[in-house]
Amino acid sequence: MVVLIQPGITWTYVVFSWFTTILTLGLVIALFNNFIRKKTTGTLILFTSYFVIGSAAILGALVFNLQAVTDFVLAPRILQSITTMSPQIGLIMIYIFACRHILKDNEVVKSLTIMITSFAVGFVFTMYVLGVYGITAEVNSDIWYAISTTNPTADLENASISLLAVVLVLIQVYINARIFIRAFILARRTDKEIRKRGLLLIAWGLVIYLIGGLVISMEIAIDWQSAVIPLIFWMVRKILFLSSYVILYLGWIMPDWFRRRIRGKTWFEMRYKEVNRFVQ
Amino acid sequence: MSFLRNLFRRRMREIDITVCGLANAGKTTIVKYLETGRFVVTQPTMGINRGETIQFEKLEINIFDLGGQEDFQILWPEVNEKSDGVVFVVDKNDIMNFDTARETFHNIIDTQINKDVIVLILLHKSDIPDGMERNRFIKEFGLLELSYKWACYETSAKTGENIFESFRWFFEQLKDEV
Repeated sequence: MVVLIQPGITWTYVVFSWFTTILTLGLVIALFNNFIRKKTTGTLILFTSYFVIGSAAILGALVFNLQAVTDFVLAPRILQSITTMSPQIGLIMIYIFACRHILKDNEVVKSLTIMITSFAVGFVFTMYVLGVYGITAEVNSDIWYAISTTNPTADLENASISLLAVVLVLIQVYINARIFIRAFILARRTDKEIRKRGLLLIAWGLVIYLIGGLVISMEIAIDWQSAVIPLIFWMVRKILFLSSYVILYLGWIMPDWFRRRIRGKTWFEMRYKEVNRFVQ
Repeated sequence: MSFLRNLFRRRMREIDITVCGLANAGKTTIVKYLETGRFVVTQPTMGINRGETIQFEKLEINIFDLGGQEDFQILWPEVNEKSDGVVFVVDKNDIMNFDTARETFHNIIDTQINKDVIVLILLHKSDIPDGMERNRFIKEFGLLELSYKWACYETSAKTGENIFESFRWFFEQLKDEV
């Protein structure tokens, strides 16, 4: 029998997560369109990174749907782990993309960064889903909760989750901070208006992304003793992440309509309009 | 259904044009002039530059500025094959390279573009008094034998001479063609 838990709050999670997921998928489709038009390695990497992030958003929304009914226990946990880890993979791809345009990492640094971050993400993911706790411990036992990201029951859980979360935070800060600092520096150096705006959008997009990460820390680090406050934090970070995806999309791609907004009409377009007005 | 069709239908038709010519003919300067309306000092184009998109009535025209140096000319066929219009720029004062320019032009015409492509030939740097006359150029460059829709203008990105007129003709032909 299907029973709803805290119907109001649970369904707020469900509806809001689908809302943000649909908007994220809009960006994925726009990037796919961009890849089809340009067919370059860069656009493929960017599309793939957003595709991973979009897939994570779908899984995240599914988690809430599954959590809205009590019959499922294991599936939401695994899906939630995948949802947590997927944006990290997307981030590594964004790093690869940034190396082509913003960062000046040589091949050794690039390979090492990709290797170490991938290893770390893989390790944390293994610990979350397939590791000793998930495989050897019975689901719902204390040791399972030690690694689970939901339903805190034991002190051990906070310690182990925090340790694993620190690894992810370090990766996020290392990659994002390097890109946004470099983007700010390049924006200051360039005198081309469109390029400057693009770089500033990338830099601010990543700053907002990191602020979203801070909100997560506040959401999970403090025991709020209320179901509403975590919900507000969750909504705020969803909005922050979505805004950063949109801003980054504009910064990385600089779609024609957006360039035109910054640059205004070309000389030819203005002249043509003028001549046509005169003729009429 | 028609609402959905309208929602997803592109209101603007997107087309690509390429700007070709030998190195230092003034291709990038012309593209920059179309964007800004003034003479801009440019660096040699390395490979292919995708310039700004120009909106002309219901067309969105993407301009591909192709590097003229020999090393980059191997990249031209791939771009020209997909192009709806070709602009070929010739430095009217560069008499020494006239034959090479003609050969390059006819190579594009014969092997790289489709039959319905519009061709615009710009006899560029007309602000410098010397150089080949337009009528003589048309004859000696072999334009009279072309089976394409074409036009030839004397232009200058320093004075802006004929830049608007030549591209208006070119874009109007493209609009009728697509």
